[in-house]
Amino acid sequence: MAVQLVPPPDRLFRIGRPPMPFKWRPRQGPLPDSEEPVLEGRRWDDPDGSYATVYCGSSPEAAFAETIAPFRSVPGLPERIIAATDEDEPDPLYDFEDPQGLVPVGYFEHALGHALVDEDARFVDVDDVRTHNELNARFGDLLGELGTATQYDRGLIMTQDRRLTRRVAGFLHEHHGDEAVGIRYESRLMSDLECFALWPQARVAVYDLDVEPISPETPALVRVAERLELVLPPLDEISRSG
Amino acid sequence: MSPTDVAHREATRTDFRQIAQRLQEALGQRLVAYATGVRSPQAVGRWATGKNEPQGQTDQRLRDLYRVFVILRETESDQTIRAWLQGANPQLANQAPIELLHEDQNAVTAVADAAFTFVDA
Repeated sequence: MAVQLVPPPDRLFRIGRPPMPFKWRPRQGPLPDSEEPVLEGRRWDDPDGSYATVYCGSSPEAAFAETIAPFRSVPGLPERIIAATDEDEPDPLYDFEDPQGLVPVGYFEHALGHALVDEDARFVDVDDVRTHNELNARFGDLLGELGTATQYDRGLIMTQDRRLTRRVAGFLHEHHGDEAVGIRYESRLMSDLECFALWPQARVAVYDLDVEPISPETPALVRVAERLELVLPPLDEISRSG
Repeated sequence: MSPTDVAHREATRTDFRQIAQRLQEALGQRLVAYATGVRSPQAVGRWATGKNEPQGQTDQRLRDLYRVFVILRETESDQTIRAWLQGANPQLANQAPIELLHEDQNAVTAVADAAFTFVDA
C-alpha cells in the first residue's frame, strides 16, 4: 500500500510577520485526551506536539483566506452580547462599537511570503483515494476507536474533529515522512484553494524566500475578502497607522 | 516557559483592578462583562476602581479573558483583538472566541491556543 504523493506547486505562499513569514517553531501542545470531538487547534498538527507544522497555500488567495477568516462576522452576535449585558450602559469612555466583518488595520502589518520548493519534494495528498486506501488498510483502528465512520474518504478527512486529522497527520509523518515533506489538502473554506502543511523536513526543500507587503488593494486579498464577505479598510487608514 | 504559560502566570498574579482597567480600555466594558458572564457593563468599571471586587467564578473568568488578551497583545492592536474576539474562528469551529468564553468556563484553553496560533503567524 502507498499514499498518493504529489509534486509541489510552483510556489508556496504564507501570510506572516516580516521578515520571516515562513518559520518552523514548535508551538502546538499535544492532542487533548478526550472522548468527545476536539474541534479546536490546527488541523494537521503533530498529535504529540513534538514537531512543528507550517501552514501555507499554493496561491496568495489560499494564504489570505486562511488568515482573514477569523474576522468573519458571526450572525446575531452583537445582539446576543447586548441582550446578555443589558443591566446598564457602559461608560461612554469604554464603549466601542466595532463593525462586524471588517479586517482590522493591524492585519496589514503582516506580509505575503512566498518561496520555491525543491521540485523533487513530494506531499501526501490526503484528499486522494489512494491515501484513503492506505489509511483504511493500516490505520482503520482509529475509526473504530473514535466511532466516527468505517472508511476514510474525502468527507471524513474534512472533519473538524482534530482527534482524527491530527492522528492521521501523525501516522503519515511517521510512516511516510521519508518520502514526503508534508501534506497537501483542500481548504475547508473554499474547495478551489489548495493548502499545504509542511513538516520540518521541508525546511531544506523550501528556498528563494521572498516577502511582499500587503495592502487593501492587493488584488488577491480583495478577491478573497469579497468571497468571504469581509470588508477591507480604506488604504489611507493603513497609511495613517503605518 | 512557553508564551501561553507566561500569559497564564500574568493572569494569575496581576491584581484584579489592573486587569479590569486594562481590559476595559482595550475591549470596552460591554465585551468584558459579556465574557465574564455579568449583566452590568458598569460593574467592570467598579472593578477597575476597586469599588467592587469580582467574586468566585467571575474573578476566574476575568483572569481567563486577560490570559487570552495577554497572548494577543504581544503583537496585536486593541482593535485587532476586539475583531478577533468577535469573529467566526475556523480554529474554534467557526464560533467567536468571546462567545465561547461567555458560554463555557472551560473554553479558555482552546481560546488561548487559538490566540497563540493567531499571533504566531
